[in-house]
Amino acid sequence: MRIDEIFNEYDKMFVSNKMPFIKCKMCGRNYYYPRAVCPFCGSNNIEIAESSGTGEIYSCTEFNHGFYGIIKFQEGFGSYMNIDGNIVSTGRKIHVKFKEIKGKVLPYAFLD
Amino acid sequence: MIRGFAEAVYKNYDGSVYDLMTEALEKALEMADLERSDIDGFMTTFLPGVFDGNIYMHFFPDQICSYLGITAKYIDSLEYGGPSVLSALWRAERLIKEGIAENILLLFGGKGSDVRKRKQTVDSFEKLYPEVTNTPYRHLINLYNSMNPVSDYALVAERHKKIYGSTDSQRAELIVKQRQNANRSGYSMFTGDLSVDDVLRSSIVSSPLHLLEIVYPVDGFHAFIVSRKPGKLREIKIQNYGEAHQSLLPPEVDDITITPAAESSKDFRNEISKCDFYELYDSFSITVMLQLENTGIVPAGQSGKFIEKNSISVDGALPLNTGGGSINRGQPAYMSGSVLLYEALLQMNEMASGNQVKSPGKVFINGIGGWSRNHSVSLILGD
Ligand SMILES: [Zn+2]
Repeated sequence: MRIDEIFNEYDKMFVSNKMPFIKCKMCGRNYYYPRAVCPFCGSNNIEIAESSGTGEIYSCTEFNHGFYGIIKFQEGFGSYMNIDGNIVSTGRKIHVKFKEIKGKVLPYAFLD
Repeated sequence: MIRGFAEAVYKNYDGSVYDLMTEALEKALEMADLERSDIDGFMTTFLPGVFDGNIYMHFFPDQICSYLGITAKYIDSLEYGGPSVLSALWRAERLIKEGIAENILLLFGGKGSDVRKRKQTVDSFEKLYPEVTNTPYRHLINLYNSMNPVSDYALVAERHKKIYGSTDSQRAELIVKQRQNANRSGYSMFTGDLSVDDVLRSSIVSSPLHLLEIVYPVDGFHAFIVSRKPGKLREIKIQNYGEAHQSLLPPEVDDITITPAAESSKDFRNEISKCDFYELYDSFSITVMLQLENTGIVPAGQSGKFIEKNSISVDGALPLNTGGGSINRGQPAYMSGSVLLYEALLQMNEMASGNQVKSPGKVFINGIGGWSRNHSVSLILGD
């Protein structure tokens, strides 16, 4: 898979409110940030899959009147994201929602 | 061995970056008793924005050599932020041993105030230049609400609180104790009384990190001259060395409280505990705590309690960031590695006046930094 194909597929899935990730068919690890080879084992035997879109806040921080953090998803991959909802705190469960940020539809975490 | 070292550091330097670097270079040459024509190796770093406010300079190390009138047999630029200068020292020692050069100049710094005045950090420079992307991951990172590197370290501080129960007061205690070291040193930029309450009452920049837990970017250069032949300084060199570079992003690692410092220090942990003083990278309070734990100086999760209970002054249980650290001395060009090395050299040469570690034999220095704190360099300097 070429890197541009991965970005295009991610963007398409975001627009239809689906949370993508990459599955390595060689080592079984999952990751989010697009690379054409698995960062854990170096295999190019990968595929894009759809996540349940649920997970928990691994860590979070508040600044500029907003929350931002690291989300660990049920499928084991992690990502940075804006977080929305009342009383945001580490350990709380979230699900993703989607919205346009500066011209791109992107996922953000919303408290369950 | 290091034959000359100097700094030229200002909160706001009105003149040109070229005059600033020249000041550091000339002082170092004087200490080394060398001329520019004796310099035959050059090592530096370039970080967008913080050299002179411009994002880029074509063939940077060569342009600087040309400006300074240095004819080098060896030129290099190491670009992983704060710890780069520590790696440059190790490489310079090896190049000299191999006979590739005689006198290598390490010149590190810039005018960081330019980025600071535009209310950006080094990692958010892409906000001033939309045509620049900091990572291959494009909008998946840069369209979110981050304020890196502050928010990135805030996430680590928050995680550390969550899993180990460390507290805001413990981090503030470290800041207060480093300030006490700064007050005793007499050569820090930021001095005066500071209490735990003062730190906790300063504004929260990115929770849980307060303004006074964050290093202040300033203008400055450090020059170090590494030579084959000794001069008038103590003949110290690197005794142990390790560097580590992490490639996974923080959301992809299992535990963000473990930095590459664990890897870079792992081959000589026993030697670290035998050092007489410690200079640990202090971009943020939490950075120091992570290195204390990751390099095995204190057990995982215990750095906060350790700081509360122990003195870090030159005659304390663990002399740490003896000159007050870059938190108090200012961070030239958003990189503190040179501040650590400079203070270590002052102490090792017994030039730290009223704040001198008594007859120091060895110092442990750890630098950490770059994008997402991906890089760590650990080293011990001694005879
Ligand atoms: Zn794999």
